[in-house]
Amino acid sequence: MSDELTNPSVVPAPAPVPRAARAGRRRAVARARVDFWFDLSLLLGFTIAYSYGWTGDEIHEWLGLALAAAMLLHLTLHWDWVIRTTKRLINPRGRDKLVWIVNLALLFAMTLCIVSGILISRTALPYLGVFLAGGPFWSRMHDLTAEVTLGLVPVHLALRWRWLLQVGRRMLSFWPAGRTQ
Amino acid sequence: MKFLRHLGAATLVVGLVVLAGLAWNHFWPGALPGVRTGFGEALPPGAHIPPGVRLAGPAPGHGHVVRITGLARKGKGQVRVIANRPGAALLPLLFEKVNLEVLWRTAKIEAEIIVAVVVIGVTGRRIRRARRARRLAAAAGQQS
Repeated sequence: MSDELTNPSVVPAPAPVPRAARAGRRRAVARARVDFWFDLSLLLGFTIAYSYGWTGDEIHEWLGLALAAAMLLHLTLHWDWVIRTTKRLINPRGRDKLVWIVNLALLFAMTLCIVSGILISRTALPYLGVFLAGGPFWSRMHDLTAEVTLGLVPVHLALRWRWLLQVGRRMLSFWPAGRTQ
Repeated sequence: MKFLRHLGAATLVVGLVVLAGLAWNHFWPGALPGVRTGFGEALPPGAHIPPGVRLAGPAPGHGHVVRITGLARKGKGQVRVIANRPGAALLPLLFEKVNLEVLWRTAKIEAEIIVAVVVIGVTGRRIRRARRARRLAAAAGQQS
């Protein structure tokens, strides 16, 4: 028997990590960093856009349009997760199913909120020369979906709080160590 | 290439949701639940302001509107002054206490929901762990 197995005080030397694995890990850390900051920006953007009484029409509408692009990018960046979890839905764990349902509801609510916002736009789209005929239906839809989104965004975030905490702690508290990982 | 493929798929899904919304408007426009509470509703300058409503700030320049807040419903209808023409005149308005309250209220709602979900999650996890530990202990007791 080797010394490492019989004597617990002898710590075996760590096995050399293959270069490809190290590169993959670096990519994963960089991606986690991008996701973290992008998700926080989305939260901040949504919080400001929802606070219509604070921003006024114009900031609200331009920010809403920016959020539309950001939401599409967010969905694109997490498309692998969407496919993976949807395939697993036949026999999912309870938590996965919950996250999937919350995310689907959020997709519906946020998309309809943005679309109705575009249709009832009073400043941003007319500025671009686009005049759309909204109406009471789309105004009601905008109010309703905005409030549903306000309820779902924090749930969407809170269901991933461990990941957020982990990545946030690594980046904010141990910035130099985070870089070398 | 993979990114473009995913972007296409995501756009398709979003497009389907948009189509669902348009179909909803076309076929069942009356089926939309909820009545406007006044939240998000902007009154044009010069519009009638309901009695008992207090202006929270000045109405500077043209193009400004007043709005009745409807979400918190604290007291009687409070009015916020908002601007639909941003510029130098808007910036000081944004940082007035009465307007910052709107942002603060949104952040507070989000924070409360996050805390509630995290507490429920942690509590559920602890209960599940305790139950599993009891089950394992019982199984170990039976074996011995």
